[in-house]
Amino acid sequence: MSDAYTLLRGGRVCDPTVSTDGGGLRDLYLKDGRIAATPPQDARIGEVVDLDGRIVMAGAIDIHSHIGGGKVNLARLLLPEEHREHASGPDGLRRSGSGLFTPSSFVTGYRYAEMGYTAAFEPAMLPSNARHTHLELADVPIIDKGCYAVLGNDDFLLERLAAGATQSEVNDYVAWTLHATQAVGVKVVNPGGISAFKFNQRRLDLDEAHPHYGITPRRILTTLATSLSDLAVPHPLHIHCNNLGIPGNEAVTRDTIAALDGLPAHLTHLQFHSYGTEGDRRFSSAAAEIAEAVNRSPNISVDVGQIIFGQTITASADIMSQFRNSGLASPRKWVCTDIECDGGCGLVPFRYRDKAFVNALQWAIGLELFLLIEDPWRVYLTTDHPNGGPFTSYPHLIRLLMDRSFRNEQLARINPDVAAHSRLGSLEREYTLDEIAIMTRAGPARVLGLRDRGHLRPGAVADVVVYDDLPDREAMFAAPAWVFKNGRPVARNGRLTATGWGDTIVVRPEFDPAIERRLKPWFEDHQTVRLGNFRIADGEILDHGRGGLSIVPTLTASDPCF
Amino acid sequence: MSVLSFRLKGPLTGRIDASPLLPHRLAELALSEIAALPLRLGRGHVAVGDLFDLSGNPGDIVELEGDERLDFVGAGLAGGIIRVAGPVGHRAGTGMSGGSLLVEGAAGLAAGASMQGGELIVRGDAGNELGGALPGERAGMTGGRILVHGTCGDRAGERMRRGLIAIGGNTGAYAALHMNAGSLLIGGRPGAFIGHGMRNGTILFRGEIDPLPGFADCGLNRLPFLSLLDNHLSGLNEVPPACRGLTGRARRWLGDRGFGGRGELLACL
Repeated sequence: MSDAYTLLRGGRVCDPTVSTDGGGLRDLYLKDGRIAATPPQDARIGEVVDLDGRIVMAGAIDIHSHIGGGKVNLARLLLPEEHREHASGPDGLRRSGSGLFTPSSFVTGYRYAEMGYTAAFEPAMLPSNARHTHLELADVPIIDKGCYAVLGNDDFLLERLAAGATQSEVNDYVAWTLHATQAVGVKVVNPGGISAFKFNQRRLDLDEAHPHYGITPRRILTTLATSLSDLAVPHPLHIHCNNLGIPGNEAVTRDTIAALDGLPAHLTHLQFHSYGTEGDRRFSSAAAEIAEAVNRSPNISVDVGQIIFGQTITASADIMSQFRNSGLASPRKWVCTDIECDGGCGLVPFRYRDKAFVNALQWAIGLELFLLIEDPWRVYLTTDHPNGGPFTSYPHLIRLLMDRSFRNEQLARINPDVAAHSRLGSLEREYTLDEIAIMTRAGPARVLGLRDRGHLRPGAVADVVVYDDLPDREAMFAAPAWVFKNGRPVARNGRLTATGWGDTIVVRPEFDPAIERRLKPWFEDHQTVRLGNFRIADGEILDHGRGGLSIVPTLTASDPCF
Repeated sequence: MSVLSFRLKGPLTGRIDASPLLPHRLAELALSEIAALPLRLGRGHVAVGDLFDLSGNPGDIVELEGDERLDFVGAGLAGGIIRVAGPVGHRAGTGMSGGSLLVEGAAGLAAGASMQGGELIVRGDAGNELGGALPGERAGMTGGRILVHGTCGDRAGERMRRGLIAIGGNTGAYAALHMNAGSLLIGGRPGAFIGHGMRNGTILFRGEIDPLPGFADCGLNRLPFLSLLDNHLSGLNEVPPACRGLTGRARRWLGDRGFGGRGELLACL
């Protein structure tokens, strides 16, 4: 603790959570890792940074990025050539690392920080992989991180649902899982489908009964969404819908929104779920229909999962879709594996080609979604790293959203049939800086329940990013002038200057521990570890002061419902 | 032709990445610039001039004093000649696409792996993964020639697609593992599991073997192609003598049938 303030003088503060008076210049005071209110006249000011009217935003938050855990590690193993080609040595500040779209843990933290991102969330942590995931994320420097536990295909839940479990029993199980795996949310991947795949099902619609358990994806979805709502967990159910990537899947996506019937939910990588079957190729954009459904449903937030042309690898727990796509692997090698009978995992390297109609249309569909969903508070910037492209392409994506002429230039370069099959060319919307600040900061913070992140009001964590106001928004967002994490400068002009460790963000809803009486025999009979060893203790995360825990408070009656 | 010589000043303190010392990269530089080039040494770097005494003129030919801790010698070579007096470390000539690399001593692991063209000659023995595939690559050697006078380790010619490997001595286990095409000549005794998973290509050797069960015995054959091959070899430099004289009859196996393969093992008489 020090009594000196750091003063960021004369920045154009871009904080959409406070009403600004015409965007004048403001001073920002940082103290003890937090944003401070304007101090009294005689307060001691330590460091003063002159911002000269540069743009100031809170640290950016990536709500959905596969950066650690079992499948990411398998992806690294599958593509050693990527790591051979993109390796960096230690330089006194950084540790060595490698990789471009499956970067090693240290490189992940450095690259995020250099881009002005101060938090990222690993969206697919299988409970049985939780310890591995946290150990790996413990080696991601600088940024804060959190994980969503994957439920909805685990045999315990499916069996209990089939046996007629009550909602409160499911609630206890969900809350127990959040505690035991140190997660901040729950994700459901292809509800029921991953399990159905193991019973030789290759496609599962919302009202199609699971071949073994006899319950439908609709039941799984609504039960889990209700659980999180009952438990007052801020981040609503994080949904990867059924039938990812299949032309015509927009119907199941819209049915999913309808099935939720007002329950809060987050639909992730929506681009992969917005495909129609019109046209000669039986593949078309349904972005307009999906965007309309989202616009009409204030309970729904989404992230897009934009694709970026080039080589990447698709990594997903959705083994059903990954097995279907394995023939498209480029380079021609892939992995699909079961994980502890509790989930699945598929890895298919892929090259998005701008001259290929399907890939080019996917690119256009993603951008259409961004531009047609009206409320930036409910649509977030992601590429579903690494599935649509690496997170390092975010600055390019921001430029596509903010600069219509640049966007149309790119549109003119790709497969010419796409312009005819897509409304993209006619969309005039250009995102403003305020809207970018919402979709990359304030919006994700709100939907995750991070009350002290994503904004710059006094009391917020002092994660501050300062940008030069360049006309080329890609250059601007790729290399911020300064990045502060917890009030400490960590990057300057897009180059790392200091490193450190971020917090692990978790949520701890209340529950009845009696659920362990049911879980204990289940673990003894079916799992590879006993219940007592399965739970991750706080000390494992804290690791003698190297890691930190930041607990997101559950919602209270006074909170505005999402 | 101008020759540039590198003579070691003393024993090496760690493994060196010698991949920058390629004739076509050095040809444009002055001696003082070459002496200042950084080479990777463990976690840090060391200047060329601190390791080597330089003499001669930069040009088509580089002469190196060898050491088994010099790795990546000639890796990525595209033209010109590198002669090494003594042994080299690992990955000599990996990914080379042209030119010639002559090692007078032994070579370490993965010499000539993922080679696309050019010629690699090892007068001593070679380690495992000679002319093999780099980790993660679906194809190994796709062109060029590797001529080894001594023995070699396991997995020579793994995932080979094209080109020629001739080994004068014995080979380790799993020679031509998952071979797709190309030719592997073994002058000495072949090791166990030869040709496992091969889909195409030719392995020639002498003497008795007990092939894997995936190979179908096609009996004794008179193969005119053997004398054509021998004729071709007679036109090349540095072919190990034990690999020569393959004419006349050979016992032939086809496989690996377990992988739908139609490659051939030829035991020459």
